[in-house]
Amino acid sequence: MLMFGSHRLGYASPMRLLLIEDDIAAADYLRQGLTEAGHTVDAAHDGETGLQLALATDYDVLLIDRMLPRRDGLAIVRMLRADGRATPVLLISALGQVDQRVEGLRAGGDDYLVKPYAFSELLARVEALARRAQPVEAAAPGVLQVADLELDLERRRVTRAGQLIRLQPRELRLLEYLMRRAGRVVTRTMLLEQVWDLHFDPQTNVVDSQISRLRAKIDRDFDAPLLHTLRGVGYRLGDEV
Amino acid sequence: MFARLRQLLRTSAMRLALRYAILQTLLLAVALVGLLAFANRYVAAQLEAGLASEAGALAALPTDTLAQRLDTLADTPGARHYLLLDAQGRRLAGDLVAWPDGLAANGRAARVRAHVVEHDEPGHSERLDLVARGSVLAGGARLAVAQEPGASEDLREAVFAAAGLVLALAAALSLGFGFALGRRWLARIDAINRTAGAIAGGDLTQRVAAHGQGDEFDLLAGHLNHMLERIEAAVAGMRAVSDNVAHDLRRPLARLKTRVEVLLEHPRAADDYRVALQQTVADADELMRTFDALLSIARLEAGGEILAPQPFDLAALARDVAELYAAEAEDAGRPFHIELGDAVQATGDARLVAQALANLLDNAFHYTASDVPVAVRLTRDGDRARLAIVDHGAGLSDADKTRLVARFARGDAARSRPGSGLGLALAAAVARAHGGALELRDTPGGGLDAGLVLPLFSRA
Repeated sequence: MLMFGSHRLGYASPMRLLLIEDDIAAADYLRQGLTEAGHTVDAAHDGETGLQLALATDYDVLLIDRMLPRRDGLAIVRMLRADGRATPVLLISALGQVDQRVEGLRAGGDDYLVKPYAFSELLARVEALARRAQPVEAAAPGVLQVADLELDLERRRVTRAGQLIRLQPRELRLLEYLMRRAGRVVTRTMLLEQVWDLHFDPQTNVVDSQISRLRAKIDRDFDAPLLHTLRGVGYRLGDEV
Repeated sequence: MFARLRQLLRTSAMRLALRYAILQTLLLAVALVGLLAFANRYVAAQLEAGLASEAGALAALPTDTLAQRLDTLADTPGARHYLLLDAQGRRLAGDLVAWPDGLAANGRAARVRAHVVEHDEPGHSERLDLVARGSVLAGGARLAVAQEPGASEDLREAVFAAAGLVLALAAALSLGFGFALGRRWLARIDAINRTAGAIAGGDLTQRVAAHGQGDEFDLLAGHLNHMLERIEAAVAGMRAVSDNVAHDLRRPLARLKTRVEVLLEHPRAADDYRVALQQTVADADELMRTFDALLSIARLEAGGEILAPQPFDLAALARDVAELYAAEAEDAGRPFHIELGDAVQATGDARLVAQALANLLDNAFHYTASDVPVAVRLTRDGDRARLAIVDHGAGLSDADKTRLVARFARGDAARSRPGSGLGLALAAAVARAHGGALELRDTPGGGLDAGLVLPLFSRA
């Protein structure tokens, strides 16, 4: 189902990541996976060391476990935010209830991933958080553009190559989410959470079907496909293959 | 037996009865003392009237006749006592030795102590407590008439005896009543204690017997039994969780382990490893899903009701979730009907309800052939809404319906197929946490009609 190493996940430019995780074996696997995906990974095994590293170096994304020795994960995020650091933070935790997620995001986390997770899911979320190389081109204020696909946020209007495309409200939200992360992989779970506000894993292919519908509207009548499926991993919107 | 008596004496009923007995005895004693005083005064008045009447009769006699008469009377046993003094204070007649101290000759009765000459031995006298009346006769002579207050003493004694009897009887009755009441209370408390003991010993099926009188003990028994039911259900839920964790997680774990072990038995081609590892990851995903579902159900069952419920539009929520599934139905060529109607306000945790609905839809899509029609239907019935997923598949047997809505159960048909099959149990747990229920019915013409029955939002 999952294709480790069979293809590189979407993000082109390598990132510098800090992983703060006290489970050393898990941290090693994670570091290996992230390194193989082309990123540079520093690891800390306790909260205090992690905080010092995060303050000393300019990382692209921080991966922080919630329950850490010597300094709690949420406390690290709060201190970084209080210090004016806006580095994106992916919180990782075994505490997965809705209120616990809300707590994590309120503390300043940018995303919240519940253990156990699929590595591809983690990688996709880390890459989605990267601030660098914003692939969305703004054709005009309030307009998202990917290749010849344009989404006017104010008028809720989609055109491709100047041709009007009619979308349902939910399809519009799905497209907006994909366009804001153009060039990067988004997973089924990310879409379910962000577009449908569902925090669980349906056993049917509902997301695939929604994507097919959207694809039929934005890609079918055009030569270059924009919406790509990465089997077993997720989807990516963009014109590069 | 002795210990039992001490226990009885320590009961609040017995203490109450004792206090009542003491109070009652005191009140009764006060009443009796009052009665006694009244009787005393009555007797004294009678006595004084008698003295006055005789003194009057005697005063009417001439002095010498009076002296003779007094001597006669003085010799009569049991009669009153007398003394006649002349104007100079000389003793003329009577059996009183001298004019009693403290007795005025003014016609008023007084209690005095005086010496009286004995009948048998005229040389001797005895001191007696008397009620006396002194008066002045014509010519300055003084007459004293006295009487022993014996009759009044008898009466006082009789009243005392009666009062004592009444007091003793009342005290005994109070104590007896308290004793009986205490025993009764103790018996009922004992019954509760026995139940508590049995439960502490691990037998959670025990219940406190109610007497059906609707008194405070029955009320207490009712509350205790309700509490015990909750505890028993929670414990049963916990047992079911561990049983299911064992059952639902052990099998896939065993499968996973066996696959890896067989794989490692001999050297294999790289592709074989890849396929096996992919399958292993899929198995692990399945394990996680099952684990998550079990955990969610356990949390819902243990948590009781939803914390901080928010009102939400059930129809809009159902439309969102249904539309998510509509695309897949269309892809599979499955007829899919969304019949929701107008807004319906429910209250609770919208995310959980969405998840329950998605679970039911997952179930319908997963366990029926891809061309079987499925409908999402929202109806209102009084103060409840019923959000149903209606399919026209194979349906469920009645036994399975009952088992599936119970905590952590699975239909046998579900066991043989992939998927955690915990969807219905999770939906039922969500419905219960919202004060509703998951209702499983037969679709007319065959199939399953799974309805989330939820209470409507009311501002009350």
